[in-house]
Amino acid sequence: MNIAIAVYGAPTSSRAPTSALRFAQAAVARGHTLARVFFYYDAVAIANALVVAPQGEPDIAAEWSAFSQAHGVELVACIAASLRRGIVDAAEAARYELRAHNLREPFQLLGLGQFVEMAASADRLITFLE
Amino acid sequence: MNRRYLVLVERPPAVGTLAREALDLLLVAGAFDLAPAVLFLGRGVHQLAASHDSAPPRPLEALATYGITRIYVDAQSLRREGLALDALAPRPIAVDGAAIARLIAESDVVLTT
Repeated sequence: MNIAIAVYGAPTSSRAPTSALRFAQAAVARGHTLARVFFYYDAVAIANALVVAPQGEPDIAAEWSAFSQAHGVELVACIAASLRRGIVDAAEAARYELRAHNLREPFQLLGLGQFVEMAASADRLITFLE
Repeated sequence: MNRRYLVLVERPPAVGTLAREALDLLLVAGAFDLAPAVLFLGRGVHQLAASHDSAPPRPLEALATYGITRIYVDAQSLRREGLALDALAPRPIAVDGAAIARLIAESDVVLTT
């Protein structure tokens, strides 16, 4: 089955990014296809490379990055939601003449249109709210 | 076969950026010619209250422009939030729990906002 995942809840105040990752790992392990994960609302904070997980605490952003690289799953943060929350890639930093960029690899910034296309082409859309 | 889409809006306008982002998702679904139905429920029914404090123009006034004409509101949420159907704009169709269950069951994709 072709599964699409959307994550809405912030990594600092919800279980959404963690629950979504565990679901994604289980789905891939069972042979399902997972092409892309879309982070929206406060969940885009997961793509901030300047966030440091305290020693001894789970680093869910690093786990997502490793999962993406191991299974070829695209991680996408909504570009508009990210810009509102201070998360930019090199192109957006140049566009808005910002002094730095902080998008974590391998995340990409894409628009809501890509989210809608992802939902439209998947057999199932699973959304993690909180 | 054309797939049927339903967008659920539960976020009230008072949550600021999150409310705006919910409506953005709804409008983008319309812009992509998905012709989604939309159901306002929970505190999201306040999005339809014409009197709420939102900078003009209200995004919801553009729904028809985006091909979103099937607009529903949860009747129970309306009662709970103390809103009258005739105070809402654009005017939705009030639906009960059984009708909501049918709406969801008949939709191929449900987009939660």
